[in-house]
Amino acid sequence: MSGHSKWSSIKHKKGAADAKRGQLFTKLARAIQVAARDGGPDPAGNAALATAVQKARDASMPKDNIERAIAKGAGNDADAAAWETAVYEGYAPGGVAVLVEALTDNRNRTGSEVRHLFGRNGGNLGEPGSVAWNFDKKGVVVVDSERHDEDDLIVAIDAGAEDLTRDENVGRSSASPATCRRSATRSRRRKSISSPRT
Amino acid sequence: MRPQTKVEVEEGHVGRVLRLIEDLEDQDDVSAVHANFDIDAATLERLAPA
Repeated sequence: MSGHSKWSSIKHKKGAADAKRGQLFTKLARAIQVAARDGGPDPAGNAALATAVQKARDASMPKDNIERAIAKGAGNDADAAAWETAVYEGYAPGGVAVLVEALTDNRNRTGSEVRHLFGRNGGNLGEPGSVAWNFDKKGVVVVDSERHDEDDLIVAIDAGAEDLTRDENVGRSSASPATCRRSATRSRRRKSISSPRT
Repeated sequence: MRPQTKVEVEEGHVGRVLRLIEDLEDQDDVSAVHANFDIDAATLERLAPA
């Protein structure tokens, strides 16, 4: 491969990665705006905003972007006011249940596009409630198992963790995702973070 | 979201299931996609869309 075509290939890949990253940041900013709009700008008193901000931080979204999104959502911005949550349910090929969560300013447009994607890939969009019964809302906290051992996770169990598993494919090396009731996630994250192994 | 039950996917369906999930995730308005498929790691590795 010549130098030029190698660079073209890298540029193409980088462009695709940047576009994906931009799309992710747009989605994360939108979630922050809606959470701030609905529950106020203080993450300490707004669990949905705290979760949205945490997701943005996990994705390395710049702090300025996060603060701007909170201000936009809490400031009765016309754009933020138009967004609403929508849930679509359907089946993928082989009878796989699929639940799609969206933030949209036009339910008809989004519904139509989601229906098209199901159809194009051999699935079909179902009625509301057709697959949602099969899913439970859970919180998940992932702990770096190089820094924490199983004894450290006792605080997670005390704070309401239902299930602890070790996953070698998560994070930098290995990690221990702990599942819990959604409402217990933040307190468990705080406790886990405040008691690192030394 | 955690599924209460999982569905084992036949190899013939794996590609289309994964493409559907990826297409949905790429849609601008979609914030999260949850599904209850169960595909073994080796098949996933072999058939996941590039």
